[in-house]
Amino acid sequence: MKRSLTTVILLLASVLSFAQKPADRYNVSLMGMYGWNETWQSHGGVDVTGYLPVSRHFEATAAMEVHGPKTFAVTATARPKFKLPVGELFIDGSVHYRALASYGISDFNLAASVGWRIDYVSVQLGVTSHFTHDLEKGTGRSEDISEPLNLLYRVSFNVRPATSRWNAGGGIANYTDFEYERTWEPMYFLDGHYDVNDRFSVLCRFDLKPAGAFHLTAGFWGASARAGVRYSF
Amino acid sequence: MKRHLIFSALLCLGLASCADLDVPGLIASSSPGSNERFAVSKAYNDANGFRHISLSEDSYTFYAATDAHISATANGLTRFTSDYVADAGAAPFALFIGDAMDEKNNFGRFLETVRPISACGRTLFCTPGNHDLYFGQWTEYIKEMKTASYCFEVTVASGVTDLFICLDSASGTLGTDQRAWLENVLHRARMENLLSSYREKYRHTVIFTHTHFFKRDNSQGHTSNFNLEEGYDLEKLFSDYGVSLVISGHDHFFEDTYFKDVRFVTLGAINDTADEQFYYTFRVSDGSISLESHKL
Repeated sequence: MKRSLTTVILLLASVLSFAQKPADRYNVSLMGMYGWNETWQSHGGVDVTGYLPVSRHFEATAAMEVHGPKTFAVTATARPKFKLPVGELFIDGSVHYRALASYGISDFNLAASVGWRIDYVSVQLGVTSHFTHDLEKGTGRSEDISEPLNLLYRVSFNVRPATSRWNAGGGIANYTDFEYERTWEPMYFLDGHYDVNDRFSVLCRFDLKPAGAFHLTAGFWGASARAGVRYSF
Repeated sequence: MKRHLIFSALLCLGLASCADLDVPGLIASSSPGSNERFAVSKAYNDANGFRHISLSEDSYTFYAATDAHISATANGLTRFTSDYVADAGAAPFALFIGDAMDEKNNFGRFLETVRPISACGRTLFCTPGNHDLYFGQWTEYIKEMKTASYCFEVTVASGVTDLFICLDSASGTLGTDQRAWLENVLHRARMENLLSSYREKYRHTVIFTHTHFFKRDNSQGHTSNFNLEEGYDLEKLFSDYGVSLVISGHDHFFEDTYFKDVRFVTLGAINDTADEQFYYTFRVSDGSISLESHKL
């Protein structure tokens, strides 16, 4: 126990030792969401995301969503990052928990991935676990479901350099801050932002989720739109 | 750049020439969507009703197989058919859980292979798999099978009934209309049980559909599932209505899982190219449904 604690402290110290000066500003974003899908039909929610740029070499995010069909999701991500001759290499370690109270089910994911980003493109590849738990487990038989590692991926592009006052882009991924899907359940997205002034930005995002994409009989399953604001400290 | 273009063109040409790979289907299915398919099934159900089977004993054994993927040969399915037909004590129905063929234009061959079942007065109840819908083959499937979402009832000697529900999940979703129909069927069965004055009418509810619910192995890495939310929604629905057993295929790997007091069984495949081929027999009795696997 003592050795584990020492290891954790040393790890934290090594991460924070990069904290020479913040490379960016803290920010918090708040977004409203409305969507429709084949299962829930109309649904909506609110999400809050915090961004914490600890140093030039380390950043963290925390995201939380409260959702119409009694769903609560939270994700925390730690991201060491390193400048390369071209672009930046980053390593994501994420913990994601989602409780779906309407169904009495929760899922839990641990994800690790490596990414590379330049002004216009970001590519990320890794693995994620998936655990499903029956929150209503009573006297009946119910197993905790542990699935083998899923491939985690995210490829996105922007039409302008990352530091631009406004930007728009899109991509494909099998996860968002609020849900981690299996490898073969991709989600397509479009997003954008406009910096109104030094502190406030307007954000929007549109997600499209097909069903059966790799059954090769793919069809529409659901779509959602998010809009909100970001405040930088 | 030129080299990349040539490579991409060759890759596209290679994929497009695969007889068992419907490449455009990655983006959009060439068969109708879930709701459109369900409308066809519902129209047939409304006009023809559901099958009812009466048995002279309280316990019975039914056969089930999945993922035959018929292409050059159909040895596994032929063996399943002959074993079932030869088993005089088996129930007069069997289940086929989808993916009858691998390449297009093999549906006729599937029907020819399983014809001895109907020839001896028994019924093979089928559900469509994703491969059955490749290349817009829904038209062919529904022409022969008439319906892809349906129920049938099996009443045993003591008068109680087992309800079997077939769901079309070949697109990885039931769609809104089939989902509503499913809940209505389950609700009606529960109401009949509640209103029964002597004993409950329905003993077991068995659901069979191609797409599996859980993915506890990567034996066949490319199989996809329902989206997580839809899977959770259906698992809760099955649990709320006391479904006894959910039988699926698609993954080519046997799994037996209890979740929310519902038994989810994913069957191993019977296709000729699999390392091991299986079919299964289910023994249905008052207290339970037991399962036996048969390796070919």
